[in-house]
Amino acid sequence: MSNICKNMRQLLPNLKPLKAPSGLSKAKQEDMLYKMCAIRAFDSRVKELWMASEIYGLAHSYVGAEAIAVGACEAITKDDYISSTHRGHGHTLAKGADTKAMMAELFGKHEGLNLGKGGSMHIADVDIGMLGATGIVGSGMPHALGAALTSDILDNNTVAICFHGDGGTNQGVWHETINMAAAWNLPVIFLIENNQYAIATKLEWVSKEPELYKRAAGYGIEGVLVDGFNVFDVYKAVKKAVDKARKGGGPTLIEARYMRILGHFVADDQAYRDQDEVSDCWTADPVERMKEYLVESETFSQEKVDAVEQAAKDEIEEAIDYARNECTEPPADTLYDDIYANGEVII
Amino acid sequence: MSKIMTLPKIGVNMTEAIIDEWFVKPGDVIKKGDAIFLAETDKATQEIFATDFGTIEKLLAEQGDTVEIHQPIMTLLDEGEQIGEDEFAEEAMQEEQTAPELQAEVQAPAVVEIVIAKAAEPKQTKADTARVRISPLAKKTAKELGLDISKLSPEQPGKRITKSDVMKFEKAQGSAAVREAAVVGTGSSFATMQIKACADNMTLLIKRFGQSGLDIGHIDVVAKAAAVALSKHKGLFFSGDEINIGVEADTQSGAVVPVASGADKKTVGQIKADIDAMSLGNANFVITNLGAFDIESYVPSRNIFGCTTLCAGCVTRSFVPDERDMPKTRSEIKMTLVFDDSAAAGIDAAKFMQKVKQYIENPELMLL
Amino acid sequence: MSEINVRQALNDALREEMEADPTVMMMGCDIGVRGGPFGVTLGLQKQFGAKRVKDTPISEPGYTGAAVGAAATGLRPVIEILYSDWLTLCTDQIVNMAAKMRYMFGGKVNMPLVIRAPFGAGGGVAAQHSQSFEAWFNHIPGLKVVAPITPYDVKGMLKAAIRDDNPVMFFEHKRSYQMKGEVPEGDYIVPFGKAAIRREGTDVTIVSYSMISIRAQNAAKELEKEGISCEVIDLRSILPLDYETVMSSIAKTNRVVVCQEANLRGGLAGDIVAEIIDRGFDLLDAPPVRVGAPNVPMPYNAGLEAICIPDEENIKEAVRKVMSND
Repeated sequence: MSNICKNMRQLLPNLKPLKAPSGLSKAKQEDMLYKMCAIRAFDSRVKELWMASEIYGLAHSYVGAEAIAVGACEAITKDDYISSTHRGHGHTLAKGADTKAMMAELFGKHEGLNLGKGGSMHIADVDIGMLGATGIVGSGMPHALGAALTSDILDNNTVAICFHGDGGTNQGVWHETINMAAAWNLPVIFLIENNQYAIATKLEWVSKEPELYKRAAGYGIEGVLVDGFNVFDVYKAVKKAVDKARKGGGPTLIEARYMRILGHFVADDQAYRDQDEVSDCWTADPVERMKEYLVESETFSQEKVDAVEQAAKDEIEEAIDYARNECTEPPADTLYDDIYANGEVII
Repeated sequence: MSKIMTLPKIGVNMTEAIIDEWFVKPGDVIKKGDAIFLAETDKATQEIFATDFGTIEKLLAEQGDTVEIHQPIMTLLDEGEQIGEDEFAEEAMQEEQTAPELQAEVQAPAVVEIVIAKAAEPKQTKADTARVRISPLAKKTAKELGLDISKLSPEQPGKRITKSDVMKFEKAQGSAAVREAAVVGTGSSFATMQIKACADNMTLLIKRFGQSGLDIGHIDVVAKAAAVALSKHKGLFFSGDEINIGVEADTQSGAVVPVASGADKKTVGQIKADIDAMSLGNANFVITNLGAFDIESYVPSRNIFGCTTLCAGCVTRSFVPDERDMPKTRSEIKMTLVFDDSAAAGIDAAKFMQKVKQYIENPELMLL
Repeated sequence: MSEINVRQALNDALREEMEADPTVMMMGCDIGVRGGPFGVTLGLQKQFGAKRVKDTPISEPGYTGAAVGAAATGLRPVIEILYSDWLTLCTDQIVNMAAKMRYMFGGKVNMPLVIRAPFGAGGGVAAQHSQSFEAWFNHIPGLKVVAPITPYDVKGMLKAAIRDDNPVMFFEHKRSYQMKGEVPEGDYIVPFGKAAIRREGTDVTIVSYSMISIRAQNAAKELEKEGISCEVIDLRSILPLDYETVMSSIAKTNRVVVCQEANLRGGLAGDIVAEIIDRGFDLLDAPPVRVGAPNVPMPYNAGLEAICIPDEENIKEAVRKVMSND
């Protein structure tokens, strides 16, 4: 907290000091650190690779939001589901996807998670419960509701976390999804990743009530505000909501408020933003705060923390190497594959 | 060993940048993220940041230059290296620079080829200036039957020509191309032979018929003669018992050939009636009558009708020597036979022609 | 065999599939307690419970998206959009998600989703309740589109749709519910991609589907008296479309009329005609003729509405045109 500048404290009064909840094992804390470092390394390198045209199309960086994906996914199991947005790399990594397969997908390779057919904006791993990134704002939200319906009907006690942004809360389908989840008392955790900006549009210009968690009252459910730069604050809130949902307590709306550090997508130079605000954001860097906390609280030594970070960076470099040198282009005759199920082709 | 830094792509549609102002120079130590120059891009003037670290060895572009994305803009040395140490750097860089050029060269011919190929494609000039209104099915059928679509006509003026119109035309024309009873052989090889017959008796016969009210012409007698001759030479030019003589009438109907079916069993008057009525039928033997236009003889260059054809000329007056070699006059008619000599032997065709001549010169023989 | 109407055929299909497979579930407005405004789902909530037969709020994008998510996670949802005109509301989830998720995810997700969306014109319900959008969805790779009309086809194809692992647009005709037909006892399905020849003929092929195929059969009976022998094809399945049957028929007749109930411009008939020309230009003895409604929003007035719904007279006129060689 000491490093966070005054400006940032004013803009985000919900900032809290990091403190691991009692009972959270060291192993889990190490895992959280590793995943946050991995996401940071992955999306930092992705930006560079895009600028060198090794990755193409569109890519949206999760740098700065690591605490949210990692804190939330740490509170659920492999059998639970998450729905995502266009900014999906962090969600996919936090849910436990293979970094090599992910990087191969961004490179458009046949060995990628989606066989090269989806790319960054549609990256998915449904087998581990990640229902896919999507380029249409808000279109993933009702899928979390669908997963909760499945849980209800098949009675398998799973929950679904619906990741979405502040921009998505103004889509009509956001209202419909929360309303139905609340009315039907289904196990969905609505997690707003409020970075204050929809590309260049500040939230307060388009929402009279920018305290988004307060909307929960309108649906008859609980609304919670957490520090989006604080992995433990996110973890605690999501865990509480997950436990409640599993017991049949219905949905919760959690607003993880932070501020977007990098541009909306890899080529966004953020010229529309106050540049001082951009540099101030780095003082609240969630990865640095986590590293700092773990050392100061004597959970781990500095060497250990540095080693974990380096291991994560190395894993990402390996993934890039794999994608660059060991992977192949999808053959042209796979063009018509997987439009329909069971190998059916309709030309 | 120096490393190369290239111009990064920082905009979705960015393809190049103009260097407005360098912020750094050789010898400077830079790290990732340092601003290195001010650039003008398609969007705006903005700073370009270093994507690598090290000591700047050499700047590869000057102020004012336009640089493409991913083009080398500087070389860097790692910590501890000295400028000028590495003479391979320049070569390596040259290779890097020329390699893309080479690639471009290799690729370029393909592009040029395509362009040339397109230009070389000649414009399809249509021979027919007047568009024929015809259905795709009819056009295809006509092509298969070897028919000239400009000769086809619809069932009513102004209507589209359809398959049934084509089939009607084909029947009327007596085209043997798809006839089951056609001559063996495709008709592509053919020969001609000419014979001259004395037409005095035929002329007398016509006159006598005329006096009794039956109006016939030379061609009708020729048709009858040919029919009877064919009945004596069954299987010579075509198979089957039916003898259907088509006579190319001298009406201006173009390609329509009226047919006297079973002509060997019909009277001369019946034959004439058929021809006048433009009867349709499956002709297997055609007689042309250019004699109606005073043409004495005609040898066609190709087998027009696809079946054996007899080209009759007009009746002329000639001087011929008599038994004492004294000149006497008589009427004559010249006839040319067009037939497929790969199917019918010349000698047999000659015998047939001789018969025709006999019937014309002595019509009473046809009563036998 | 028994004779039942289309409504009963739908009801039976839904019940039988829900009895056989516990992952089949349904969502839509008023389908549970009320049994559906068209009475299609009567009795189903009582039998299967409110979890599996869910009454939704008026949130088409929301519950269509929920169905997509449910399909991706192990259920087989059948949702109802009461009037196909309202598909405009939930098209994002159908077109950008359901149709594409399998492909975008490299085949690694299942999408067994049925969207029932009654379509068709008549009854004075006017512009926003009378449209047919099969042409739009025919355009989207990843979807299947069917439009059965007889009770036999309706039951068999709804069962097939529910068992299909792909998203299926199921266009029942909203004016067909009382129509009766023979349906066999026991389980059966009607596979997609196979058209039905409703009447054999030699002079012209009439390609049609849904309600207009009934009118085409009526028109064909009347045209017989004029000496024109029509072969009437009911496509039943639009994507995939049985071009084999269509082209075999045209090879026999050499003339074709393609009918749709929707307004003519940009409709399915245009795509079918283009495919016919692509596959068999040389078989045609006349240009193909299309039948469709005028390009107007459906008017309320009954007389004007009648002009905007293609009927037997329109079809006969089209047949005479294609026979005329003009």
